[in-house]
Amino acid sequence: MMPGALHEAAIAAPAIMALAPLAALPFALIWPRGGPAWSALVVATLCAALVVAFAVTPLAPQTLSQHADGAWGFSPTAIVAAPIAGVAVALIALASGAWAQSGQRAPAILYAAFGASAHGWIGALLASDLTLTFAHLQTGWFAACAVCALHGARDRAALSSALRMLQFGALAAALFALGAALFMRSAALDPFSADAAVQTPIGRGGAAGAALMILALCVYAGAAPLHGWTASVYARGGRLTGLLLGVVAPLSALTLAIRIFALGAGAPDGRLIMQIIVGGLGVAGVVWGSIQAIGARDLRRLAAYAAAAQAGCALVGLAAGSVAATAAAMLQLANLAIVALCILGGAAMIEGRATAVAVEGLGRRAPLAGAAIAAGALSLIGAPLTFGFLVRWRLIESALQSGLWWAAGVQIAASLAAVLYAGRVLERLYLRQAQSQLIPRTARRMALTPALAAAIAAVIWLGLDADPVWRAARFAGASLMDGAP
Amino acid sequence: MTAEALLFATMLTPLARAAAAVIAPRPPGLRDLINIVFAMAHALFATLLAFATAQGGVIAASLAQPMQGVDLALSAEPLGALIVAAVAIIAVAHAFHMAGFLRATHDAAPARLQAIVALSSMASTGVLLADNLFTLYVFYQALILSAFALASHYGDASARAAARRLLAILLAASAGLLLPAIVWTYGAAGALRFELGGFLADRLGPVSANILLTLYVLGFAATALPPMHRWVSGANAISFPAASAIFALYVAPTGAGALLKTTLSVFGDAMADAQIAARAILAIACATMFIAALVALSKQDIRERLAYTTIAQIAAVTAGAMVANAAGAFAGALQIVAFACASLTLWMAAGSAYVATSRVDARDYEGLGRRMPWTFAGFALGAASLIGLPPLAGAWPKLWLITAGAEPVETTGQQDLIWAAAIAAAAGIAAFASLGPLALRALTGAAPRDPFRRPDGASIFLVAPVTIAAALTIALVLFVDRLAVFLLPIWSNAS
Repeated sequence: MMPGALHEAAIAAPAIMALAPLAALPFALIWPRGGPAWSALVVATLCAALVVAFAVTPLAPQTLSQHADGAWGFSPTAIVAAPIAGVAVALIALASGAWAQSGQRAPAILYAAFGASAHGWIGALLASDLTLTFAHLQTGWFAACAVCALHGARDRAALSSALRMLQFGALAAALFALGAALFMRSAALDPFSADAAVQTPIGRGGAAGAALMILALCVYAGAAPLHGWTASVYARGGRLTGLLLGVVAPLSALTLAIRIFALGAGAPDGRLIMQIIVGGLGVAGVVWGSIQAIGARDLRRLAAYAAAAQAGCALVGLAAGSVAATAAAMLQLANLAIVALCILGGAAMIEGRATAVAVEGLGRRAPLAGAAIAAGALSLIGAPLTFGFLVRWRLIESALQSGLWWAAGVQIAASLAAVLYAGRVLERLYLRQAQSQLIPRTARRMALTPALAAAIAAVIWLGLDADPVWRAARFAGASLMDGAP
Repeated sequence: MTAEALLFATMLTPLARAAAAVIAPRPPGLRDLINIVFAMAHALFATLLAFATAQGGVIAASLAQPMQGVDLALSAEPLGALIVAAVAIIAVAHAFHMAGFLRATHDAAPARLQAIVALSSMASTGVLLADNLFTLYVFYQALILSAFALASHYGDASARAAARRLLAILLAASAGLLLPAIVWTYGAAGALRFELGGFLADRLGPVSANILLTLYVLGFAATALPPMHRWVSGANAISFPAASAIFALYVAPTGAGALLKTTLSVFGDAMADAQIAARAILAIACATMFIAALVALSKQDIRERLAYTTIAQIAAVTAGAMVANAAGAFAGALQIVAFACASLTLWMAAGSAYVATSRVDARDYEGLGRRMPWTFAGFALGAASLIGLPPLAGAWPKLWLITAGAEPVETTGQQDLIWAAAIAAAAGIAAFASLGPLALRALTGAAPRDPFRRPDGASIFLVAPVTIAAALTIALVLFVDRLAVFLLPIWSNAS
C-alpha cells in the first residue's frame, strides 16, 4: 500500500472502526445460521484493526486529531482509547466463535447484537457531537443487554442479569439525558464537539449537568459504587457479554467521562465541584471495589469488582486535574481494558462457573489461560515489567506533583488491596493442586489463543515500552486540560 | 571481555542457570553438574566485574526505557560489585550443598528449586547492580516473588502459610512504602540514578527527608527491621536450601545492601536533614540487634533460631547505614559480606545435620560434633564469626560499628551516638548467648548413642561445602584491609 493510501485510510479510520462491527447485521438477517454472520463480523473487525495497526498508530496524535470533522473522528482521548477498543473487539469477535456456535439459539442474532453493541461503544468514543454520542451509548448498552439475554438463553440467571442491565441502563440514560440538557442549557456548549474548549464558563447548572453525565458514564463503566449490575452479568451473563462489557464498555464510557470532566474542571466555576465529585466517586470506587474483590470467590466476580476499583483509581488520578493526571488516567483506562481481557479471557477457558476451586491448578491444566490470568493479576498489583506498574507510577507521580497526598495514598491502598485479591488468584493458579480435572475444549482453546496471547503480550510489551501510549495520553491531557498545570 | 560484557554476563549467567535446570531436569547428575558449573561461572564473572570496578571508570548498560525519564539500567559500583562477588563465591558452596541435600532427602522437585534459587540470584544481582532506583525496584520485586516461590517449595500447608506471610509483608511494604518513596524521590529530584554522595541534598526539607528515609527503611522489609520482621517467623516450614538462599544469600543481604546503597547514593549528604528519623531508626536497629538475639535464644527449632539471628545481624547493617559516617558505611558493607559467609555456613551445617540425623531441635545438637566433626567445626566457626569473636571476619564490622557510634559527630563535636556503640557491644553478648553455648555443646557434649537416619552420616556434598564456607569465613579476615581500599570511593563520599 502506498503512503498516500495509508493516509486516506487514516482519515477514513474512525468511520471504518465505528461501522465495521455492523457487518454481521445483514448476514444475520439473511441467514439464521451463525457462520456467515460470525465470519463477516470477524473479517470486518479484523480489517478495521489492521487499519488501526498500520494506518492510524504510526501517525502522530496531532495529525490524527485534525481529521475530526465527520460524524466520527479522533478526539484527543479517542486516539488512545479507540485503537485499543478496536483491536479488543476484533479479538473478542474471533474468540466468540468457539463457544457461541455450539448449541446456541439464534447465533446469527447474537453476533449481530454483539456487533451492534461494539459499534455503539466504539462509535461513542469517536462521535463528534452530543446527540450521536448519546445514541451510540444507548445502542452499545441495549445491544449488550440483548447479547446477555441471548447468550445465556437457557439460563434464567442470564435473563435476570439482562433485566438488571436494562434497569441500570434506563437509570444511566435518564441521568445522561438530564445532565446533557442541564449542561447545554447552562453552558450553551456541546461537550463532545470539536469546538468544545476549556475555560468556558459553565455555571452551576453546567457543573451539575457534567456531574450527572459522569455519574451515568460511571454506571455504564461499572465503576463502584454504581456497579450493581457488573458482578452478576460477568459471572452469569455469558462469556461474550463479560468480555464485551468488561473490556470495551469501561474504556469507552470512562474516556467520555474524562472529556466531560476536562470541560467542567477547565471552567473557572466548575473545577472544585468536578474535583470533589470525581475524587469522591474514585475513592468510593477504590474502597468499595477493593473490599468486594477481596471477598469474591468467583474469578469473574472478582474481575468485576477489581475493575470497579481500578476505575476508581482512574477517577482519583483524574481528580488532580492536571495534564499529567489526565494522561495517567487515560493510561489507567488502557490498562483496565487489557487486564480485563487477560482475566475474563482466561476465565472464559474454564468450563462452567469460574469458582475458586475451578481456578486451582489452572496454570498447569491450561498454561495459556493461567498465564493470561497471572499477567492480568500482576498488572492489577502493579508488579514491575507489567503495564500496570508504569501506570501506577504515573498516577502516583501526578498526584504528588499536584500536591494531592491523599490521592497518592488511595493509589497505594488500591495496590495493596490488589496484592491481597490478585495475589490469592496467583497462588491458586500455580501453588494449588487441581481439584477439578476440567480441561478446556480444544475449539475454545484455539479460539481464545489470539486474544489471550495478544493480551499477555500487551501487558509485557507496554511494561517495557509504554512511551508511544504515554505520548498519545500526554497529547490528550494537554489538549483537554489546556492551561491546567 | 569488555566491562559491559562482564556486567551482562554477571546478570545473565543465573538466568541461564535457571533455564538449564528447567530444560535438563534429568539425569540428576547432569542437572547438578550444570547447576554447579553455572554457579561457578557466575562467581567468576562477578569476581572479574569487581576487579574491573576496582580499576575505576563507569561500567553501565541500559536494558530498556519503559517511559521517558525512567530507565531500566545496570551499573557496577564498588558496594554492589563487592556484595555480588562475595555472595556469588559462597553460592558455589551452596550449589554443592543443595545438590547433596536434594539427593539425600529425595526432594520431589529438585530442578524447580534449583531454578528458583538461580532466579533469586539473578534478582539479587539486579538489585545490587541497579543503576537507578527504578531498576532496583524492578529486581527487588522479582526477588520477592522468587523468595515466595522458595518459601513455598515444600508445598504443604505450613510452607504455603509461611510463603504467604513473606509475600504479603515484603510485597505490601515494597508497593506501599518503597514505591511511593521512589516516586517521591523522582518528583523531588527529577532523577533516580544512584550517585556516590547522593543527589537529594538541598532538594528536600527536613520534614520530607525524615519521612522519606523512614519510607525507604521500612519499604526494604527484606532487612527485617521491626515492625517488618514478621516474614521470618515461618522459617521452620522452609526447606534448608531454600531457607539458606533466603536468609543467608539473597533476600536478607540484598535488602541490607539496597538500603545501604540508598542511604549512600540517594541520600548522601541529605542524611543530615533526616537526623530525627535516622536516630530513631538507629535506636530501633540497635535494640533489634540485642532483642532479636535474645528471641533467637528462646527458639529451639534451629531454623527459627538462625532466622532470628539473621534479624539481629542485618539490623547491624541498618545501624551502620543510619550512623551516616564513613566508619558506619564500611561497617555496614563488611557486615553484609561477613554475615553472608558465616550465616550460610550455619544454615548448611544445620541442613547437613538434618539430613544425617533428622534433628532440627537445638537441644538435640548436644554431642553431634563428635559424630560429625567437620560439619560442627564449621558450625562453630560460623557461629563465632556471627557473634563477633576476633579475629574472625564478623568481628570487624561490629568493631567498626562501635567505632562509628563513638566518633564525635561532625556538626556538634560531641559523641552523640555513644549509646548506640554501647548497645551494639551489648548485642554481641546476646549473640554469643544465642549461638555460643549451642556450638560448644555440640562439640563438647557426649556423643549421641541413638542411630542416625543415615548410618553413613552426611555425604561429601553436604560436608565439604560447610568446611569450605567456614574456611572462607576465616580467610575473609585476610582481605578486610583490601576491602576497605576497594570501598574507598563510597567511604570517602560518606564522610
